[in-house]
Amino acid sequence: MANQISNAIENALIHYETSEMGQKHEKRVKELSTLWELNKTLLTTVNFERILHLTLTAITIGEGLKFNRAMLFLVNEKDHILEGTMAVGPDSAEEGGRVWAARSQKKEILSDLITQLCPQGHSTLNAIVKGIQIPLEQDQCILSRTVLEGRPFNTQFPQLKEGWLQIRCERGCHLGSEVGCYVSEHLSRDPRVYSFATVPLMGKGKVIGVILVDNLFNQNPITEEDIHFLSMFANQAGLAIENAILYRNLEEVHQELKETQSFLVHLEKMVALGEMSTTIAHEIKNPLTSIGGFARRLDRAIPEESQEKKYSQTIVKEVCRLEKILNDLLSYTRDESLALKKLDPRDILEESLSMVQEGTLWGGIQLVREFAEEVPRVLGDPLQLKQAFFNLINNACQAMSEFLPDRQAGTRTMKAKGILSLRVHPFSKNGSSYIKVEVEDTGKGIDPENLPNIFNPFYSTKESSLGLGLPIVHKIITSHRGQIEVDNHPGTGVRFIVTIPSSEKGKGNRINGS
Amino acid sequence: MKRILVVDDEESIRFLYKEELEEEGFVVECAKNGEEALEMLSVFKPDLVSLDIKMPVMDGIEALKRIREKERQLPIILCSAYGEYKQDLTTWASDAYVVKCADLTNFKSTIRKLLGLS
Repeated sequence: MANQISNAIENALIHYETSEMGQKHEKRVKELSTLWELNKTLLTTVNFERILHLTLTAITIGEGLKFNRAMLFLVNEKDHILEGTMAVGPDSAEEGGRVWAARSQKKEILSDLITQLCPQGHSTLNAIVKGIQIPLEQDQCILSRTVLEGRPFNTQFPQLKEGWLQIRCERGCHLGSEVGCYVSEHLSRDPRVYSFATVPLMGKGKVIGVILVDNLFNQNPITEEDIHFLSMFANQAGLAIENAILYRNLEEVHQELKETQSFLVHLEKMVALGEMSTTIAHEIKNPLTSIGGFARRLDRAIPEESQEKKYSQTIVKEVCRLEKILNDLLSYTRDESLALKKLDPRDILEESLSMVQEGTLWGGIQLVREFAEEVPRVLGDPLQLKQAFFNLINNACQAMSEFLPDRQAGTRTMKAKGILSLRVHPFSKNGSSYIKVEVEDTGKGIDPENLPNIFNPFYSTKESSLGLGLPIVHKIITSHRGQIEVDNHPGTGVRFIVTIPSSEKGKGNRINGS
Repeated sequence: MKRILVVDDEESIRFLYKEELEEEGFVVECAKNGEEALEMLSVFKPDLVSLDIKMPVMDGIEALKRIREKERQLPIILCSAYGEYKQDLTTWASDAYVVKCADLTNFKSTIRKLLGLS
């Protein structure tokens, strides 16, 4: 009897163990088949954004890993930080309820279901995660520790009302420190009761990121089995993401190559155009000189009061215009070497100014000079720099001028009015000394539509201009290893800021010898 | 009266310069290229030479070198359609560089300055 009872108990135990083992196996098979389904979906694309979204959707979907929310952070090796890249999950329990209820009614194959779900880049969670940047330093945060230690963390915070700050440090992350816990601060409504888990995202032999999951809305505890399952999936997802990153880099390089190629083609055209226009301009200039020269002789011979005076004056004026266009063209297209000298930028500016003042534009323009008392020399070509600043000042004067009809004479006369400010100041950056020259006017400013093109050759908004004034300035300044910037205020004026390296070493506000 | 030799391959330019400079009271002779200019140098004995750069047979730069071998002190103006950036040429051989343009004020004042007339 006793034997039979013991046999029966033994049988019952064996039956229990077998059925438990069966259940375990069944669960494992289900897990593996889910994993296989999820991996299959990852192979459907090499698009970076799509892969990330598929990964996070697989983690949150009920038929997948069933977490409420999933967030992905990728390692930025260059800046040594962890950057929030994407998040999937509802913004509230209500929204989650709606989404999950709607989804449970459709019975579809897992891989199809995931691929049907489109990225929702506008969710609040996604925006929060995208704004998170965490230094990749030991003990900074659980997220950085996940990367550095290459292992998962399952962080369950006890729901204590008092003393929670001390307890939260138990995992080694400085949650109570000044830096604060990036995770709980940003992702939980109440940092004291936030539980979450992190797993490293493995690429080929290195950690490329972190996946963070939580069950914020249903508060289901995250078990070690869940973590194990998530880790298995994260290994596969890591490889897929790494491939997508490589593919994206390849595409970027390809795009760069395409841009470089089209730039080179453009450059070649410009060189050909430059050579051609130099030859043509040169050939036209000689006859133009004699036409203009003889027109002037005729003009001098014609009495003031005669009707023919207007004709001769028109020829003289138009030849002047043509000569200016040809000079611009020749100075833009010719590859001139620099005749470098040590120069005081204030002197150059004064010379450019006197060139403009000789012209007719000056009229009612008020000049304001703000020159620093001590300005280091620059190594530059005096003629080229004089030309560059002349063009800038001349443009400024033109911007403050307009044609006004003169009813008595029946003609239009040019009137100029405004303030021209010229500033020269030294400054230093990264131990190098620079000169900053500003030319500012109170004219109409530049139409924002035209702003991107102002340094492009042959782009002009003026009636009688070839569009080479500012391109010449740009060419001269960049050949002096300088930079030119525009501070544009449509309707009220424009400020051109030229920066040129000084020939003198040391601090920008000192003059070292002459 | 100061004598000026105008060297240019363009007939209209030679004509214009001659007219303008004669009006200023100079004695002017013209040459079509560098070679002709060298030949005329000993005959005409100019006080100043205006040299175009781009010319057939012998260009202005070559002519400048050859003239300098003979006449070290003779004022020479290089005169070209190219922009004023080329001025660095003057540092080694010529006395001035003038960009060709219809307004000859600058050309004439440069000549007067080099001849010590202004």
